Amino acid sequence: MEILSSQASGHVPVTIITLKGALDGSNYESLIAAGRSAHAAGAKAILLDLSELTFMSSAGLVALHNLYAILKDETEPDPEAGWATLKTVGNAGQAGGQPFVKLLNPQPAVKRTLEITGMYTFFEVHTDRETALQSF
Amino acid sequence: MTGKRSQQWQADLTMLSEIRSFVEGCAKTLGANDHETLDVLLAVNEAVTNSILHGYGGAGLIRIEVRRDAGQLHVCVADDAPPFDPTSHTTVDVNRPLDDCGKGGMGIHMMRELTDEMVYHAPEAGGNELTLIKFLED
Repeated sequence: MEILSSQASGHVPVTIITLKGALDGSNYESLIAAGRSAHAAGAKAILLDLSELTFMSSAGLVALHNLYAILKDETEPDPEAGWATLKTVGNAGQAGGQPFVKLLNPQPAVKRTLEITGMYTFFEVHTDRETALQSF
Repeated sequence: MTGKRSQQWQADLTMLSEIRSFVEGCAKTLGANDHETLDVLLAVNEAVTNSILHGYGGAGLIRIEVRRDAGQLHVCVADDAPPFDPTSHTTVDVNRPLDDCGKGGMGIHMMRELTDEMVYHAPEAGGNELTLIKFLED
């Protein structure tokens, strides 16, 4: 999987992380590392461009949740902790409107993973880049 | 179309992409449509990941056999890890917060959701055989 980071401005500065290829157990930690780097550089908002992400396993969901925790300045969840780590996003009851991590243009294969795990509603999803940037 | 195809890989997460390519090719050849193929790929990916991370936790082999049985696609994921039956694992309710199925729980939930049946067999010689079954549309 290729990970590209760039900067853009909406109402606030937004870091765009573009993922190309497949996100699975072999590489999800690279995405978490990219999130940590962005946060260390001052990022407060991340738009994940999933237009060219062709596959995402449950490991990808763990990475998404870690990005959320990193930007929210929470303790990063243990990636091995399983289901409970993800459910904390839902348990917060606010994630759909959370201002930290949003998704752009998830493809059907990625949408499928988000939907069957109940995570689709926990991240704001956009299909237009400008609209997504302005939503932060 | 029927037929049986099998292959084995080292139990290493870097093999996931190759394993998915193998299963995708088999599924399409055996008549699965794009939606069915995606569901099977996601389920197999989770089964293999669980085997590598929670079954072996180290070196080993993953064997995969794909076949068509009438209107069903069968994918058997076999390993030599300590016995673990995912079909007996607690069902997750994704609508309830803080359901904790522990390690591998997300993957098992996905396998259940993405397949029509899961059949587990513990061979006498040891290891695990998990067959993921997807009913195919005509």
